[in-house]
Amino acid sequence: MTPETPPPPDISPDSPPDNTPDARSHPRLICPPFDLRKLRGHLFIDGLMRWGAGISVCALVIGGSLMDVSSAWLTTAMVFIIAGLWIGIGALSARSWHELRQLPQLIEIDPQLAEHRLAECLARRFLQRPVRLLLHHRLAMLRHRQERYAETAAICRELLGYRISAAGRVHTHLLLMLAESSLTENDMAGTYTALTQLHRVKLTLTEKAQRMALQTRYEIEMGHHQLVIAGLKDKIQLAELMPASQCGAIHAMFAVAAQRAQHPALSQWLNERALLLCGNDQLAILNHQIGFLDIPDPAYVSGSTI
Amino acid sequence: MTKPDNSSFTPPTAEQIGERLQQCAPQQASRFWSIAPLVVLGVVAGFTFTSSGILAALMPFVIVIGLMFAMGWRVRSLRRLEQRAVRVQELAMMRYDVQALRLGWRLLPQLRTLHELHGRTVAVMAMCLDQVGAYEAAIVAYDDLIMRLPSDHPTTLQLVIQRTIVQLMCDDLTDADDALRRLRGMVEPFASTPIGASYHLAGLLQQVQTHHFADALDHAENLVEQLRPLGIDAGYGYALMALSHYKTNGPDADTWWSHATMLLPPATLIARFSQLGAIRDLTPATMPQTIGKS
Repeated sequence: MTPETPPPPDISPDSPPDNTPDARSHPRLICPPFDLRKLRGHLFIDGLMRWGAGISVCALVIGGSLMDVSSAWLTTAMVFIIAGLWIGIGALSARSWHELRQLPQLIEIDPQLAEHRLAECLARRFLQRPVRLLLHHRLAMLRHRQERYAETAAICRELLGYRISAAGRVHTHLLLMLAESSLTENDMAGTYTALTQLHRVKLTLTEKAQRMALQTRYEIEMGHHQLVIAGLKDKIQLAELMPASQCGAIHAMFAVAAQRAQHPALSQWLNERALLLCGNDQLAILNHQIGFLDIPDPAYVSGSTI
Repeated sequence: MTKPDNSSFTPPTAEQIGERLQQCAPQQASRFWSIAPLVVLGVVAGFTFTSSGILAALMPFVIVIGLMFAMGWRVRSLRRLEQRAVRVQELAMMRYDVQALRLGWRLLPQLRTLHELHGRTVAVMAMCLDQVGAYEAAIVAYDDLIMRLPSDHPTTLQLVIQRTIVQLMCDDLTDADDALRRLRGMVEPFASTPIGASYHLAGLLQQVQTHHFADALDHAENLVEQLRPLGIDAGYGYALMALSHYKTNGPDADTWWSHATMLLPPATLIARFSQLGAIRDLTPATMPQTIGKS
């Protein structure tokens, strides 16, 4: 018989304090709320170091070539010292790189442990710029998972201002998270901006499906029901590429739009499909999460008819 | 995007795909190329410290700049390969099986040192081979993948189930039966996932292929719940259930056929399982005309 593993300690603002010796010696860290000025400050120091190292190397090369040839070894030695320091910072960042690869999966499985690891990484003073930016991308993912949408949107908005060249798809992912967070926070202008930017970048097929889902929610909220059911055949084909539950949820949204656009037969067909793909229980859960079936019809609310 | 003409396409045989997979088997990246930059840097540093002159002073920087360019080129070529592998996947997702197969076939030799991309591409090719009816070739591709993965990995489980379905499609009923028996306990933790759903579809297909239609009806009660994680592909299962009802004069053949055709068009269902031709005259679910017009 194997001993039962005790559950991991939970130290968060909502949970009672755990006073076991183990919990006191290894408390779970929590990432502080996102601070824009702090991130900019860190990035400034990172940039200063990078440029400082580059300028020093150039100065040494030029100086060395102007100096007596016999002292060239001295400048070379100094360049190697700077390179060594740079490699040292790279080694510090390498540990965070390792975490970066594991964090997306961990955020899905165990958000609390992911937050602990993320807090440890973010506490490191010297990091390479791409590593710091990618760590904040993971922080946005975590906040999104924790349904802290305002913070997610703030992080995404800030990160989108930087060029994160290390990972090509990060920019798109940030835009998708920003669009969804803005939508959930009822920031329609923010959602529109994010969706517009998503239309300007090259997307994979899966990303196109995600954009379509977000745009559908946005258009229903704005009362553009005819727009939702325009080109429906292609939209359904795209939705069919998504996992069953998401595919069913999108069908339910299409059904809402079709009903409001006075296409009852289409709405019924879409509803039947949604039920086959999702089931009543799953639809209720999804509706509770994103509330797409409870979205009031703007035309009805304002007293006019479609 | 209109479907291209694939009439001139002949799928590869089991021998051809086996040979190709052997030629393009994954291999470890050469350690020489990963160590070479450090060796070059070391040699140049040594040369610089032991000799004098402007050339000796500048050489390390020239070498460093050269290495940076080489690394940048390597990263770009890796990204291009990844994009092409994603393209293979996307073509398969859109059911352009022949195009996905062609691109995957050409791409495989370049993915030998990129094990994850290699595995994904072979998996997509196996699925496409299954879709175009090259069942023996698909089994060879699945075997190749299964052999390389740990036996308890969830992906292995999914691949074994896919292979079992292909075995059932080409009437290799004994091997399929063995596989299903071995899988029984293993899929339980994955009951409400696509893995569990694929297992139930394989079981249903086995009963249809062995003409145990009455046994298939026993699963009707929970079938929608069991197959739901498959998304629209659950339609294949509903169609097989409709066939089972039809063969046993059951009352719900029309209902199940309606469920099936709600998710997939009758032509797609019959193209995949030719035995479904027997129920083509049952009433299908009709797609509202509004969809075409909107």
